[in-house]
Amino acid sequence: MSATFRVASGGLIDRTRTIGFSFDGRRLEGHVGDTLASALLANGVRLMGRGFKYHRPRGVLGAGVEEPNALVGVGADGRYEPNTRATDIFLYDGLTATSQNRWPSLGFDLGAVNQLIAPFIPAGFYYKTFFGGPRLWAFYERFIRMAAGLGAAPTLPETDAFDHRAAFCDVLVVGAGPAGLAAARAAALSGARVILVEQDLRLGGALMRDPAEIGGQDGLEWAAAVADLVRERGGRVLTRATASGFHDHGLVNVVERRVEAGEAPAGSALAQRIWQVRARRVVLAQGAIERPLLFSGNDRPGVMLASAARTYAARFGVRPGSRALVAGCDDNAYLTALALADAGLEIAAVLDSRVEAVGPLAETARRRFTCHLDGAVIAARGLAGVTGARLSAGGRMFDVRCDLIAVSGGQTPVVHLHMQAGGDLAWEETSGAFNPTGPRQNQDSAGAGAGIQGLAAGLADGWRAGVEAAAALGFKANGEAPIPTGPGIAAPSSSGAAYALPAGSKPKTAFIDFQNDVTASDVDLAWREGYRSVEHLKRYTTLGMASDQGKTSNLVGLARMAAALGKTPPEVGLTTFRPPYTPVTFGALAGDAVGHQVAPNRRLPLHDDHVAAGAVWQPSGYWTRPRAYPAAGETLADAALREARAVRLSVGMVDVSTLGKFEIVGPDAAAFLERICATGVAKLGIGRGRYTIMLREDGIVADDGTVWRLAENRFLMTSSTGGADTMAAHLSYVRRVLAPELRVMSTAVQERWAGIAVAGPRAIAILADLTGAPPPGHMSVARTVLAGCAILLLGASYSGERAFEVYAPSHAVGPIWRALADRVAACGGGPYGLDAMELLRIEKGHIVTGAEVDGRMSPHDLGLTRMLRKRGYIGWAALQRSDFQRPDRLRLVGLEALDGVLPEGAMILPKAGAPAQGHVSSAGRRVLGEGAIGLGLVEAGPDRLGEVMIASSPTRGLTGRVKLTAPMFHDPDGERYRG
Amino acid sequence: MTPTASATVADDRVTLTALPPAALIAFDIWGDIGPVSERVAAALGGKLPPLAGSGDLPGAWRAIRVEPTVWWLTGPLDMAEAVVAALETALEEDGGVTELSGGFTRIGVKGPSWRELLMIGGIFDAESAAFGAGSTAGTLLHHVGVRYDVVRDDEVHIHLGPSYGGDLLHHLSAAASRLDLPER
Repeated sequence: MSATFRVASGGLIDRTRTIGFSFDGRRLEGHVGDTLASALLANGVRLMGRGFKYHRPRGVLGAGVEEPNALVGVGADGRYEPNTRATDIFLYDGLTATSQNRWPSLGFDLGAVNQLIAPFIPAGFYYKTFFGGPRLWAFYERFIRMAAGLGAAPTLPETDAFDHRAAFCDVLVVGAGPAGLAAARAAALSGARVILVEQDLRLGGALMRDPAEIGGQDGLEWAAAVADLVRERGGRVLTRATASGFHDHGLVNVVERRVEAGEAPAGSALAQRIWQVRARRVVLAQGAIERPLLFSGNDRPGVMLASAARTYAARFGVRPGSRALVAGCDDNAYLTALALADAGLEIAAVLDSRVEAVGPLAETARRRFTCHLDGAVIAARGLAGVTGARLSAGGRMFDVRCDLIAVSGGQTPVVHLHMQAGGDLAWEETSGAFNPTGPRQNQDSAGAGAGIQGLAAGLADGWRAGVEAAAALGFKANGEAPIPTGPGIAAPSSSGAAYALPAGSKPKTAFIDFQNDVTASDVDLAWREGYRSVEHLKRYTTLGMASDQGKTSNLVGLARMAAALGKTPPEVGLTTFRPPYTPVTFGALAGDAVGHQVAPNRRLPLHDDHVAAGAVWQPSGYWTRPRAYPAAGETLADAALREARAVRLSVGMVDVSTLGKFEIVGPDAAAFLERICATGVAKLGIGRGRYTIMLREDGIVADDGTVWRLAENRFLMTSSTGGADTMAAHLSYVRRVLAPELRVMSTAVQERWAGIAVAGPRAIAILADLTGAPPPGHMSVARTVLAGCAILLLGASYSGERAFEVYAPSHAVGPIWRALADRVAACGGGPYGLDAMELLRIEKGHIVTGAEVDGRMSPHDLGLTRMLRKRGYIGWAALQRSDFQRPDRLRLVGLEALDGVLPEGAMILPKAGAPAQGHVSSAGRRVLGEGAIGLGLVEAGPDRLGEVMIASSPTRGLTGRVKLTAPMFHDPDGERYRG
Repeated sequence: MTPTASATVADDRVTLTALPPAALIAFDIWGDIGPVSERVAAALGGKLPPLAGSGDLPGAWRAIRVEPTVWWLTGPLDMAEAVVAALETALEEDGGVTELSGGFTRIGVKGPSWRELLMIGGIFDAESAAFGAGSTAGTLLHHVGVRYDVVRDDEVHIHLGPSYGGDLLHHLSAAASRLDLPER
């Protein structure tokens, strides 16, 4: 197909380079520099999408990120991206785009039948329709899911690379239009380190649609010179980079598109990168978005924002129509008519809603075209595209023939980042818009984004913002403000009248939110039904939702709501401006944290030895730990049972390197630990250790572990694997904040010491043999040598059997593991994993962080009261609260399954159908005996031992009777581990 | 493939090397820091670096000040015991010593683009001109807690827990292929 709407010359496209692309399977051609929208328009394609609800035909409304209509899916397979704005994707060779929200085709969409039932499906109809019982909801859900959503979500994993990069600068300038460029130039000339970001592929902003001369130089050449200046002064210029969020402490996230959506990056290069820019000052110069006008059929293909029409003509060399009607509320209407006429369009008429218009633009236009004051569009004619319009002017109604209606309802400053940064807004009656005010962070707004209109004023304001930003950082102003030297962009005078729906227009077909099919009548209905808050209006009508977040619609809807309420827009208020400013693909948010790199992956020092032993791995926080070592043909459950039985009957060994470990050193080390630990520590003899618990300041158990006195002023404390990082932070907090007077050094040595627990009746003999000396007694520690390496040998048992923990520097632990493994194997044992460890500790009644220690339990609840000191430890004061003494608190008990079923996590009920009185915190099977046992947290549990209750897990369909017992199923007197 | 901490990536922009195990000793001064640190410096035969600083000491040892009152010493493993003893003698009851050998690993990053490499997945301004040789900083890199020690203008050592070493090396290797991307 030939590009029938391409102007013969001009524009910022490279006419020497032709690009092939497809839209809904049609092969088309465009040029380098085209967007998909401009290329489609050049090829005469005006129908680009369908309305979300009524499936009305839609064309392109805008020329940038504000576009609500022309959403397409681009790319294929792992590069498919839905809901891409055709106006915001630059053409590349092989681009494949498909229209959305239609079936079977864009031209013939069966969903368009919804237009016939439109009176029955107004705003909020689903709230009045889809109610009833769960079965009815299940029936509705199928149809709701079919209708919901824009585009189809990708089904294949992302194939390209994304990452995140930090950047720091003195002044970040967001937006490279005239004001932003002036700000960047001012800051760079002052000596500040500048980052200039622009969402477009080219710099210049409005200069690309409204050519101008600045300082005697072509505007775009001036823009390029500013970019060169920024680079020369050590700054950075990012194009196709959208500042999507302004967060606390001057952090601005900038999403840089290295390639277009669906395009394959070269080699291993990136598809997108998020720049996390921390700026000392931020200048926001994001420009303004033009508002559409309200009239019947204002969503028809061929109705277009005036600025967009100028952009297609001037930047892309495309005629957006053949015969144009231009309607506006300020001089933009005349500017647009002149620009379109220069591009070869016939001008049917120019409508100005004002009753008076003076100035050179209006006068020039009046000499060339039919212009009407006090004019408005009442209705667009045509179905699949505009064929004409019904107008009113000076109280007279008439029709014109046209295929393009270029509209301008005024300018809305882009204040999203300003508001995300905590700024305020001020309503300006003249322009009918909110302007930024009251910045809360180190931000300033400039140019059209601050409500400043016209090239000269915008340049001056941008220069001011750049100078002030640099000066605030101590840089001295240098150079002079740029000034337009040609005809420039006219300074439009605005009118609030552009919000009104003209008399004779039908509110039912006058669209406010094009993307969500919200009409003027929907807003009126919400008002009639009592919705007065703009937040409620949004939720009820969906105004301003979805991927465009109401860029063209929010203020129009707000104005209509305000008019109905008899209030001004600022009295009605605005919805929240949340990041991101424009949609961000999940791939960019994830960065390179994908696949097995989705989180830090911690590797055990004995990883290779576990691999050699046939370990099956299990994530444990960031760690990957052996779950079991199954023999050929053995299930995990059988392997765990075999490994646990070896511990009970002979010996086994387990890697406990991940335990939290801390060395506490200094004359006040004991005093420090007496704050941390709720059990007695100070009286421990050298070479002795004990079990301990640590409380939070609110009296809740934070973790448990052991404390070992290595020397008079040196202790080793352990905590759980999962609690290691939290404990490190807690120790630092206590040391630095609660007890800075103590002469003590607290150091996390988790990775300094690798740990191997050797457990079972044969453990003592093995260690005696390997170290050449009798091992220490239970809860005693010795320094010795094993496999030629100096180690700490601790007598400690988690399994309930006589056991030892061998601690060695992690870089030297390999030979120790292998020496132990040989001896353990010779005794018929072997390594055991997390599953066996779980069976052993449940049988012994040992609590574990994450199951029984769940952030709600006090020491009393866990049966640890007898271990507590009388006072003086962190959490003691809170433990005196009456709530901790309540008899009906959840408390630890043992559970014995009577029906062979004990699902972990199950509710515990007094009888079927009764409210839950607790839950199963851990469950397993007896190691040597038969049957399932577990630990649970049950209301007043210890007072109810012997009671039979119900353990029920509806999600797994498992229910069975359980008997409450003491939480100890193995060696209650501790004879086996004491040896 | 699961990367291991022994991998090395090299090109003309940056070279990554998993450095061999070294001794790491931490000491904390809670007494009068001026005179106590002078005692320690005398015992070590050199000068202790200032806040956020690092520097070489005799005997192939290097000092890094990681907190206002805490320093790390890295050096030959076989000398660790003697250095610990010397520190304990110098500190008396004005400070404590803890050996951390085996608790940290080091990745060396060398080449003209090392600063940019640390910006990818990082949050610290490694590109700042003020972060020169003899500077140190504790920060996060690819969500892993790390400490940078700029040993020369073109080389930084990254200290981190050995369990994270392979993971970080994987990230750094991947990021090294994305250095010096041209503007669009």
